[in-house]
Amino acid sequence: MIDFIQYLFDGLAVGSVYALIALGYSMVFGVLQLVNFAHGELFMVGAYFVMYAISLGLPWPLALALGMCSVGFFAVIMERLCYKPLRGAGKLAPLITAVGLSLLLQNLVQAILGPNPQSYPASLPEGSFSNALKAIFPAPEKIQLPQLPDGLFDWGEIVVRHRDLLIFIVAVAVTLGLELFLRKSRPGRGIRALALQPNAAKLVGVPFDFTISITFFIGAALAVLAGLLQGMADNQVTPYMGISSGLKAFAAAVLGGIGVIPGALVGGLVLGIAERLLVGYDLSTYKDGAAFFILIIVLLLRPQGLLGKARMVKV
Amino acid sequence: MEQLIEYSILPLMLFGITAIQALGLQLILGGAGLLSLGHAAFYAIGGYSAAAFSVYAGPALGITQPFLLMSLSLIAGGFSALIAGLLVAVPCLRLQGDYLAMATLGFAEISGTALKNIESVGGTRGFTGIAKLSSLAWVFVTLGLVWWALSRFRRTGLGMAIQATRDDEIASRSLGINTYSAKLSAFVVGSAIAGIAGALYVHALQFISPDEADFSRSVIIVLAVVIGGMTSLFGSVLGALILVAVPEALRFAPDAIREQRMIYFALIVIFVMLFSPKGLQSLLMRLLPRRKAKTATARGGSK
Repeated sequence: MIDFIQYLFDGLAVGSVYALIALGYSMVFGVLQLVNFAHGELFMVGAYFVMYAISLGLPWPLALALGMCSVGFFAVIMERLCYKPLRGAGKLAPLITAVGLSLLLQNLVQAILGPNPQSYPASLPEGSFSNALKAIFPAPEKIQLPQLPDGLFDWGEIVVRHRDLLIFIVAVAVTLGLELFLRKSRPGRGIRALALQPNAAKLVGVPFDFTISITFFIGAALAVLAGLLQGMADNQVTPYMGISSGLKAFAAAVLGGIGVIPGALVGGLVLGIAERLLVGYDLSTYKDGAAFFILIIVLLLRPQGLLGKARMVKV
Repeated sequence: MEQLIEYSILPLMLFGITAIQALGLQLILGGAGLLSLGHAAFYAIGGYSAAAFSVYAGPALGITQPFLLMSLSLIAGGFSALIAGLLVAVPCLRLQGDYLAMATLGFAEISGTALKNIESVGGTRGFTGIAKLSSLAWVFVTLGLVWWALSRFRRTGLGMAIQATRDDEIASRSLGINTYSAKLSAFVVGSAIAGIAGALYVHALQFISPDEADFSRSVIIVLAVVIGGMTSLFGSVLGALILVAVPEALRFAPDAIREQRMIYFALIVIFVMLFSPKGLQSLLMRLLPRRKAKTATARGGSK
């Protein structure tokens, strides 16, 4: 029993990272009914961006802010160029484009930065581009590496790392903040209106394209945050981290109820903890299937997800 | 020249096998309008079962004649994928659209994980020691038969019921079509075809690993069907040809392009979708206006 509680705490960190990625899937699906398969790659690109920015000497809050803005704008441009022209072309065409984008980003990063995992402090590969970067940012004497707190809460038999708790608190705070943004702010209400009734929302003057851009921007920014946390927790980023975490995060979004903000958090935590439990009980070879096993069971019993509301389909 | 022929046999076989898989998915995706993101799982299950049959069951039953063994392996592969398809479809077809896609994706990940944990078929290392029973002739004869059978199937009552269900489920139900069984049969038959493709694959490469059930493999088949044009059988075969031929052809391109061929491949996928969301087949139709008129009346238009 003590073990069980210990594993619950251990699963918090990985579950929180899934949750942060899942929020982006969930928001985009909410407004466009599109599964943005390239979202996992935004997480990967963000993780690289922040790691390199910090390794070039930027303090981490600045690196994070810069990463969120650049990857956010990248996501907005991606939507304008690749998804917007396909509105009204059915559901499959944008989905396939998203898969193509995911392939493209994964291979581009691999081509530019190499297929091997990178860790702090990351060094740029040789080339004219990175030489130019090095000229602008001379290599700092001593890099201020982002440190997650190292300590432990020691409650007798249960030990909780400060690091895991911090990541969990960040995820909860972000989820609450996002929910507040969607309920109170003007663009947030626009997003909810579009998710509820796109045509009616357009009629009452919700700016369609702008609202969708905002949605993509926020989703990408949160993925960058997840990338920073993951990069610091594991001290490793790879070109393939987007595809595996992305799929599980998407499963988490569906599990919690896609389009429901707190659902993403619940789904992410359930999956993260379930994976940790399997590892704890020596079933780690079944880890990758577990997320989807839970997902299918939940979908069959409660198709709208754990926190979703069933909607009537009008004929 | 001889080298070129020898070199092209494997890509040709892979094209045939991918085309068979794509034809199976075409029935599910283009025919019934169900998005399956786990098609490769049925392919892997068929491949593993066929390999297990020809390695373990065949010799135990005293079957050694290659032709007979291969035919029975094909049946074993198709049948096991059919059963797997049934297991997925019976509960999951109640789910709508994207949820169904998610459930099939989940099933594929689960089967990949399960295959990794079965030691008698090689676990994570993959299944080796399979006899080379398949050949170019086997692949293309099977492809021809599947193509022919599917084009006949479209014109049967059930085949039309499947297409009607895709176009409008509620209207079909009001006409007395059992839409659940129409979708079920499309899914199950499509999965069985994937299993047959898997059986051909293992006996061609003499190897299969759990990676064959990966999401990326399922995506490749979806790409083949959608890029080719998902409403026709020809489109799926065309898509399979492109998906196998383009990366192969890029191997002969100048070094700078060859090393990054996945990037160019991804760009091609994106551009095809942006310029011709209905697939390359519809692009061809626009270039050949007379055929367009003929097929449009034959199919009664497509969504």
